[in-house]
Amino acid sequence: MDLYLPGRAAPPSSLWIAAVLAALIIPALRGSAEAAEVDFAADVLPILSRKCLRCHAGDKPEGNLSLADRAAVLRGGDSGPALVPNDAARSLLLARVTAADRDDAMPPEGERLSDTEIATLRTWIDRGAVWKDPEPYPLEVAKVVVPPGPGNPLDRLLADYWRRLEIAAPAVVSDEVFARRTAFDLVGRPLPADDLVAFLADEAADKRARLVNTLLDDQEGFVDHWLTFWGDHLRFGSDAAAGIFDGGPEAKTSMKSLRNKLVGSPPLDRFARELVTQQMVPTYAPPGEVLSAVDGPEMQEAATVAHVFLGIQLKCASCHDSFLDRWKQADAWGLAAALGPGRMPVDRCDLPTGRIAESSFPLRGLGAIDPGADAKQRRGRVAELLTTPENGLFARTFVNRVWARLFGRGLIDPLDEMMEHAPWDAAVLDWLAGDFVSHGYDARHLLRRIMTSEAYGAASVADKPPEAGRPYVFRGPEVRRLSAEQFIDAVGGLGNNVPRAWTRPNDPLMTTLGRPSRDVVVTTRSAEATTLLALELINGPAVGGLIDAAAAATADLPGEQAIDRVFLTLLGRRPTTKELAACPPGKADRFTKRQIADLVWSIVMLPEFQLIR
Amino acid sequence: MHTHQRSRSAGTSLDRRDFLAGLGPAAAAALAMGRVPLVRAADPAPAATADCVVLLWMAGGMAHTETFDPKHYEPFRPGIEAKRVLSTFPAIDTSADGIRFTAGLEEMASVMHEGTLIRTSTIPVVDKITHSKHQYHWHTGYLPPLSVAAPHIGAVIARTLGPRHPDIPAFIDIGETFAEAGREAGAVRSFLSAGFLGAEFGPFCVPMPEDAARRLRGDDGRRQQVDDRLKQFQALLEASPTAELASSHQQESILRSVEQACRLMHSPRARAFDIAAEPKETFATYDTGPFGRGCLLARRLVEAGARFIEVHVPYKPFGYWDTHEHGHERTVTLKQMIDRPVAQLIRDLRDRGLLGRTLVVLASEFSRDPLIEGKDEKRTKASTAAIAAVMQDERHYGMHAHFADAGSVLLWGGGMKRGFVHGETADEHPCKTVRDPVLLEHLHATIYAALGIPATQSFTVERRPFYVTKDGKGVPIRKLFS
Repeated sequence: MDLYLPGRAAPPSSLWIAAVLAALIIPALRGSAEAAEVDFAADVLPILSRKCLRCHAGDKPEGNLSLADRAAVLRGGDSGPALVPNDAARSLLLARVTAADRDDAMPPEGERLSDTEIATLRTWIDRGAVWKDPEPYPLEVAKVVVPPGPGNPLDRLLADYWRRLEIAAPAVVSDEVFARRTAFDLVGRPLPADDLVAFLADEAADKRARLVNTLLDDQEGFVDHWLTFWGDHLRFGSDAAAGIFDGGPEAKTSMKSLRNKLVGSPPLDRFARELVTQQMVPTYAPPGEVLSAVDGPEMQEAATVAHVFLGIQLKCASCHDSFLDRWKQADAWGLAAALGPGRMPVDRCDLPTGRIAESSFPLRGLGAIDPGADAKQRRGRVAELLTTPENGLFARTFVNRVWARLFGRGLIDPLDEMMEHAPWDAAVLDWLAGDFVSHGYDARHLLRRIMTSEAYGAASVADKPPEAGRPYVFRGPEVRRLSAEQFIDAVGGLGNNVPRAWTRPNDPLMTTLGRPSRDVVVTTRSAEATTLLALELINGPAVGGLIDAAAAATADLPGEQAIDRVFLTLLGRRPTTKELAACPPGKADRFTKRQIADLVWSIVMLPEFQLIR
Repeated sequence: MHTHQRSRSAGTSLDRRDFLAGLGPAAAAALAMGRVPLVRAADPAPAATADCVVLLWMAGGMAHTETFDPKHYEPFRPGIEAKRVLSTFPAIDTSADGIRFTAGLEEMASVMHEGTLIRTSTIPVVDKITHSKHQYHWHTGYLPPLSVAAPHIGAVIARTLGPRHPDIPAFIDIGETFAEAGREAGAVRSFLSAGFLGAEFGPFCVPMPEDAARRLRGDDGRRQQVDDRLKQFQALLEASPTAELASSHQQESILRSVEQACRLMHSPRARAFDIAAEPKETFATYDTGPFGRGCLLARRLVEAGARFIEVHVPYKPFGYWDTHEHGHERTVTLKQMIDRPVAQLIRDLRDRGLLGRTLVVLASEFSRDPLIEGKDEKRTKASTAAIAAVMQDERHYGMHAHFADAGSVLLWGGGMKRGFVHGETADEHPCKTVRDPVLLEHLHATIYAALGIPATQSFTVERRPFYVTKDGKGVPIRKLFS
């Protein structure tokens, strides 16, 4: 009996048979652990990865038994085939994981499999031991046909999406929240109070689009903000790079040098090509400083480039064929070789394997790299394969990262597993990617597309802990926490000529606000509020200085105006009557600097300030 | 949002106010969200012999033959062959039979019978030996570069065991100001962090011990202002029109963190942070400078319920223990800095009945030798010009090269043997490990075992296991336990 299981490549004609059989059998099993659907990738592979593959994979698996692919499992090892499809009772794998005898039991050390895990394996084997390697995802961006109609094509695609799921499109968010959200997303700080007042008073229908365009034209502000994104991704401004791990000149990896590259918002493909051809991706150890080439600069660069620009993780594969995704050791070493000497001896962890890796690009369908070419040519070829329009992953990955910045969650999630998961709507992702490519990889065009959509201008969804097992449904932007830089720049914006936050060192304030030390690639910052942060905000000297500067610049204003200025800048709105009543007394007159400082501090502590709605 | 008329009219601290009243119990779940999963090891957890760790960190590379592993003493005279100079201090007896220290450590020698001495800590050598790289290694168990941000051992312990008392931060770091580390400040910061575990488990940093109370509770002069501010905050929160955010877990986690911070600030236990409250006499015993005062603060925090405390001799390139020239003279000063306060810390903990469950560890990133940079078998690039085969002037007299083949680590309390020495080093140059080498993963496994944490415990990062000791391979040194 051969049942259809999700993901199984069954011929369409057999689908209905499978469905009928499943319908007959599954109710009969209801109530037992086996009634549940078993998905190889989601349910079985994690058990094998955790409990088996550490020994039963690779060049010399224990007992000559590899569990790394289906053929190897059926071939078996010293004790014979590991399983008999459709017959768990006669399968060695199950006998070993359930064995009571310590000599036979697997795994030989560490935690035994739980009853649920054993039940999962049993069901999986009894249903044919279907082995579904992750499906190759078409590389090229699909041509998406957008439903005809007025407005932003993105909204028409999303209307389709919501119609299919039978959910209502989200409500429009207020102008106040929109302006605050937009300013933080484009220039990393709120609008100056006067600009905000003018925007709110504006009655033109296109005022939101104009605001987006105005902020996109603020070149300095735009670069100052997006610099943080790139710093985190590419490890510019790394703490570790300030000496010693890499010994390299700090200036090459400083935020300033990154800023110089980003001025004028170069097209993404050109930016990426330059990083690769000019060898500008910071690495964190010179060759002599590492135990093995596994940690060498070529491998670091290969991993960083693939991670940042393709959303794929070669890290696992640098030591062994990845247990978790499709990447083989040859993919990691091939790219490292292309960025390094052309051909490299392959190590497994820190031991030589005797194999030689030839230059290659992990997305092999795109083309080969001549290992005999000179270093410059090989780098040129990597840059070419990375950014060719045929490589849709390059555009998709960036679109997905930008989407996640703006909406709090990617079209594909997690962001760094681009090849392992499907987007919640492929048409939206590929239409945006295609639009991005056909507009010359212009990040500002992409931002304009998204931010002038009704979806971006929608009310945020109340964020709740995700329910396990439920697929994500896009219902609008999620509530996001201000980044460390946005937080500082917002408070700094009340003061006079306070330097932008990216120039600050990683003091306890920046660290507790969540800025990473950048000794590794960070694509998503932690969103948690911590006790240490609260203590830092209550008593820390750094935030005190910023607040005093804000107070000094505001205290000259008459009372009501001062309160207005503080509310407008920090919260993006005027105070309510109730809030005015909660402000310091003596409004007719001027406030003291201390009163203003206290007010600024109290507002900065509010979740409304610390969150982008 | 509920108002709290009663506590507001009381008008004092906010620690009893529950900002979250009415917001529902989702807050705890919200706080736990996004945490890196902890995978309890399959191995049975070792029975804990300690609840608390104090790490006394000798940043810069403390020479074993100049401190806890005396060798042939050779006074200075111009023209002496460097390899004859094994110790620049004569040996002294300690309170433990058969264990000798070098002169200048008389106070610590008097409490050696309370602790265990490892003489053979050895570290891997890769090309150039640099301080921040090996400090990173010591503090995280992993030698950089790494593909994930490894957590500090204190953060691992904070994440695994949580705070020992809810009103005291689990992980407190004392005495690293970063002000002296120069270009390497960033590198030092990168391991004094919770890494992928998230800032929640990172250190509460007290750069100067005398400022500790202020770091926690604010300036005395600002106490009123902080109270006013918190009241204003509460009033604005209650007046806030953003009711639609009420169910937001982000909002809840922000409010919960403020509430917890207030609780810490206003707890009676917060007084532990104030070393000025210590009787003058005790204060004076500890007060050899910031490090000594840091030891005093550490003792007070152990009493109050901290889980992991690190006290630094700060890292300063070519300063403190980073003796690249004038090694002898500089070591005299360094010993004066640590000897009395460390000994007093041990005595105080013992006298208060706390040493049994507190593990005090004194360690450094590597040792030093007059000539050999790296290991005897694997020499690396020299780090200083003051290494001379023949010592001509006092500038040359001391241990100036980074040495990786042996190093001393002291362990007191927390279930360790008393008056015990582990490992043996050569009596002639180079004074390298000849018996029972101790790799860092095994030392860490020992510290974890004392706390009841298996060395094979891991966290799931990017879907892979990250073990608390390198690749889960640390094995506790059972011989050290009493």
